[in-house]
Amino acid sequence: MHRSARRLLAVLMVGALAAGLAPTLPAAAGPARPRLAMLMPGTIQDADFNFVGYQALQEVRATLGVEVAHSENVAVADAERVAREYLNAGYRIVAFHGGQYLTIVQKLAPLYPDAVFIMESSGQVPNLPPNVWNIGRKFYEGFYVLGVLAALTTRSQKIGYIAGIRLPDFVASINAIFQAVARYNPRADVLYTFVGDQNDPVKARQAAESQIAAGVDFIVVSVNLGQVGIIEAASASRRPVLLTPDFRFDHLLETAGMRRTSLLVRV
Amino acid sequence: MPVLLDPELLRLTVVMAVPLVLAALGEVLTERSGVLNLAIEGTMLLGAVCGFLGAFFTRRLDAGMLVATVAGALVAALLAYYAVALRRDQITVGLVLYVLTLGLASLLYRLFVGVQFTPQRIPTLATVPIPGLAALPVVGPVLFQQHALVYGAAGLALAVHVVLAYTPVGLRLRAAGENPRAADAVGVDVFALRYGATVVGGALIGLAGAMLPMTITGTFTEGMSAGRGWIALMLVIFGRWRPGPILAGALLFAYVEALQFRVALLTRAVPTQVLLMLPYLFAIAVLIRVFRGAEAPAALGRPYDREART
Repeated sequence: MHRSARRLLAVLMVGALAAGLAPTLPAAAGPARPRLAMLMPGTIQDADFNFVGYQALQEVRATLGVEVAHSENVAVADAERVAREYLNAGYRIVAFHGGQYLTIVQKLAPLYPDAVFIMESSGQVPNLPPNVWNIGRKFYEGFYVLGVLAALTTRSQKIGYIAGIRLPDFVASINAIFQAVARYNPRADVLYTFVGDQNDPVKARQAAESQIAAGVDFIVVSVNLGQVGIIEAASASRRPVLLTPDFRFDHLLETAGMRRTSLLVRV
Repeated sequence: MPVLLDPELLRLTVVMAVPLVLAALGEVLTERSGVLNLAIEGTMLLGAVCGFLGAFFTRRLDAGMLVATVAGALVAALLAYYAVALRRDQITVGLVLYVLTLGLASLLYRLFVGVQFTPQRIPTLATVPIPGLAALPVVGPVLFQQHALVYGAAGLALAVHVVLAYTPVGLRLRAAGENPRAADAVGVDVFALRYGATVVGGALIGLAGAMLPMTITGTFTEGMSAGRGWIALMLVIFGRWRPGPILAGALLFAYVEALQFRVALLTRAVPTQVLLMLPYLFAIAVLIRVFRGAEAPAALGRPYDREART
C-alpha cells in the first residue's frame, strides 16, 4: 500500500472513531455533582445511630442529587487514612458521624482548605477552621429529663446508666443524670457502666445483669445495638426493670415478653 | 465476699461459658488429630449469623442450630481439604479462612436481612429447670435453672473426654495427632480421621457461634464473637488438650469476664478501659503459668505425607 493511501486510511479510521465516539460523550458538561463521604464508627445494621447517618446520606442523595459514599466501622486510628482516601478521590465534603473523630478533623481541615468537614461534638468547639461545620449535640438535655424520670420512679433507689464508649457526650449525659437525681431524689444512687462498644449486645447484657444484681430497677440506655442485650437482661430478671430504649426497639420489648409504658411524673 | 459469689454473677458465668466450651471442644478434637484450626473465630461468627438466619426464617431454634452446625462443618471441610489432602500450611489456610468467614458473615446478614430501620430478633433458648435439683439453694439457680445447651455442653465435655481417653477411635485419633506415620503403619486411616475430626470439630465451633444470638442477645451483630474464638483457642492450651480442664478454664474465663462489670460498679478508682482488659490480662497471666510444661500433640500443624522420606 502506498504511503498516501495509508495516510488516507488512517485519517478515515480516526474520523470513523471520532464519529463513533461522539454520541457517547456528554453533550454538554454541566457542573460536577458534589460528592459527600461519611465515616461511621459502627455498622449501618445497628438500627440506630449509624443507620440514621446512612438514612441521611440516602436522603441527601435523593433530594439534592449529591453523590454519596460511606465507610462503616471506621476506628479512630483508621479515620485519617479513610478520610484522606476520600479527599484524594475528589470528595469535597467529608462527614465524621461520631464524636470520637474531633482530633482527626482538627488535623485534616487546615490541610484541605477547599474541602468541607462536618463533625459532631457535645457542644461548641473553640478555634475550629472555617471549613469545619460542627454539630453540637446536646444529648445531656434529654438525659437530664430521663434522670428526672428515673429519680421519681425508682423504688430500689438505684438508677443505672449504660453507655458504650467514654465520649464527652456520654460523660455530660451522666453528669446531667447525676444533677437530676441530686435535685429530685437525693437518696438514690446512680450506677454507670461503659461497656467499651456501642454495638456489643453481649457486653451490654453483662453490664445490665451486673446493675440489676446490684439492685438497679431503672436503666437509662445509651448504647446502640447493645440495647438488645440490655432488653434480654431485663426480660431475664426476676424483678421488674424499667428501660429507656430507642423507639425502634419497641417490637423487641414485646417479643421479649416486656411491656411499653408511659411515665407521667409530677415535677 | 458476697459480690464475688453472687448467684446472679455465677449464673451468668455459666451462660457465658457455653460458647467457649463448645468452641474449645471442637478445637481440641481437631487438634488432637493433628490439624490446627485457626479459622475458629471466623467460623464462630459464621455460625452466629447462620444460626440466627436459620432460626429467623424457619422460626425454629433447632433449625438454626442445624444450619450453624452445617456451616461450621463446611468451613472445616475446606480447611481439611487444604490441610490434609493438599498438605498446605495450616496456619496460612486457617488465617485465610478466618478472614473469609469474617466477611462472609457480614455479607450473609446483609443479603438476607438487609439494612433495616429496626433490628430483627429471634427468641432465646428457654430455661429448662431440672426437677428437684433446681430448688436447691444457690447451686439450683446457678447450675440447674439453665437452658438445655448448658447441660448439653457439660455432657459433651464428658463425652469428648470418654471418646478420647477410653475408646479405640479416640486412641487412633490421638495417634494420628502424635505420630501419624506409626499410626498409618498399623493400619489407622490417618487421612479419614483427620478429615472426620476437623469436620466434627468445625460443626461444634459453628454451634458455639450460634449460641451467642440464641442464648445471650436474640439478635446478630457484626463482630459479635468479639475474640471468643481466640479465647477458645487459648483455652485448649490452658486445658492442655483435655476436656475437663478446658471446661474449668471456660468457666474461669467467663467468670472474670462477668466480674469486670461488677468491679466497675464497686470502684471508680480503676479506669473503665483497664477493667475491660481484665479477661485478657487474666488470659495472659494464666498462660504464662500454664504454658510451662504443656505439650501439644507432636504432629500438630504438620501435614502428613505418606510418601515422604523421614
